[in-house]
Amino acid sequence: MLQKLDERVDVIAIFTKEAPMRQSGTKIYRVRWKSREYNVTSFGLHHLERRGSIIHHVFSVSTKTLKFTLVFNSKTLVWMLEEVSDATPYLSC
Amino acid sequence: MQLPISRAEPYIMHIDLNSCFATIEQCANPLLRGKPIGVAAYASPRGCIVAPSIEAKKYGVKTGMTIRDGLALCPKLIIRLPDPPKYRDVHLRFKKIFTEYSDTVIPKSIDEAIIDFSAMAGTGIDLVKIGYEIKRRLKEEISEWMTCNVGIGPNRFLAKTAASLHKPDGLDVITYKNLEEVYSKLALTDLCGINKRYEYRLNVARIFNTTQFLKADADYLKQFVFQSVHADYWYKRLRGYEIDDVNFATKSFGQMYSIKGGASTVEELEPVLYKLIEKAGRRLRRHGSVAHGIHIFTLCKDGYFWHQQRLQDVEMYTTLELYKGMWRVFSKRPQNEKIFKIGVSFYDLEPKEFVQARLFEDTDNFLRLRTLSDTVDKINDEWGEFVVRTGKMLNTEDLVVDRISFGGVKELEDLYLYNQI
Repeated sequence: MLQKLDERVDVIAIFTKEAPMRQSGTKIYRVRWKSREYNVTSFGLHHLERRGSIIHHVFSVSTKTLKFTLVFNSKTLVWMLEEVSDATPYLSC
Repeated sequence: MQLPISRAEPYIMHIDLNSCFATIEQCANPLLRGKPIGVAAYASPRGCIVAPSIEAKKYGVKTGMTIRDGLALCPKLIIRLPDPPKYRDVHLRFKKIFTEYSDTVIPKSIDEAIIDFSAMAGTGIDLVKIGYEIKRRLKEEISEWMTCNVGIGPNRFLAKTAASLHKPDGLDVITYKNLEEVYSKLALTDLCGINKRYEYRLNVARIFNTTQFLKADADYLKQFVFQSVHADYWYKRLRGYEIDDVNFATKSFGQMYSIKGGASTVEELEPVLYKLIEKAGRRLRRHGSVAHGIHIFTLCKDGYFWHQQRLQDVEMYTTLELYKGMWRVFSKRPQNEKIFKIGVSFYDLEPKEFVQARLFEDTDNFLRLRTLSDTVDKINDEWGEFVVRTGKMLNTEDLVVDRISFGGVKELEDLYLYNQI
């Protein structure tokens, strides 16, 4: 299953200094989506994406069963949920 | 020509990310780690798997297979579509790490790079230690799931060969001391650049293994195998002499696209062609060039291939100029053939400052149109790709989507110049 979304969500994250050199130190703890809270159990990847002139920070995080793609707009400081997926094949081939 | 094996010290490091796209997907999604996944170009049974994960490779899934074949070998194969921005960002990050070790970092593709330490020869630098350090830093700074192969050798070819010896996550060094031993364990097709057809030609010349290839005389290779200067190149390359440190200038800008289900009418082909030209044109203009030549190819059903190229009288710069020039060539195609793959490229480049004044046209008018085109490009740079577009490109969001040319280097130059974050 893979679902493309474009929904604003609540995110609890901290920007810690307790991170190895050259790493951002952003930690995401919890996501609230559709009135339900999800505890983030593991952090996947943080990458940057330029959309026009605006830099978006894309965080791939997962709970025990779901993977969320959260996008932080560096201009508006808004968190968006852009993708939810799990580890099952999503293509019907 | 007789040359001994080069005794040059190994100062070239080749780094190759393992199953790059699939590994990056596993880095991003911890739920996919340890599972067989494949990144495929298109979500259809005939879609090509461009990167199987290390786990999928154990089932026999290979790059270039269709999804249908991959699923036949591994029913649990998880298919994901490519996410180019993610891969480009990882590329920029690993390149940034590499440049901390040497000024000379040469990206070979989205997942490969060469670090040249020759300038530090004689300083006691330990490349094996640096290789392990880079492996550790990729894990720390990109993702704990990221692995790479490191190869160290006296030239680029041997460094790449070393990087392919122990996959995944290996580190090997080839020097003049172990070169013959390494070759003795490799098949001819294990050498980068020797495919099945070259293997056949070598076999015909009674060269059946890599050791025989190494021992073959350059004149013999030239006469019986390559019949060209490539014989000298291979003779030197195998012995550890550097002949691959050549940088090729950008000579053309092109795009291609596979049309799902095929297309034959002008109404179907026009939006695809226009978007291809717009994308190629954007790259041409970013490069500050104009083009004189046009090349177009189409692949139809049953493998029928048609292509044509033509030099225009005047240079082309805006998408409209490119499109008009392209249509003059494309209109000569065989009609009613269903096209499944189409590619356009623009060549014979020169700096855009050299504008030929028009004798029978209003020069000021087309210069105004070029300024307008530059302005539209600036708006799209600021607000996002295709925010301002022509009517021909309406409803083309799902056509000619963003893709990474696998193994391409030219695209990376665009990436460094215009997408640095």
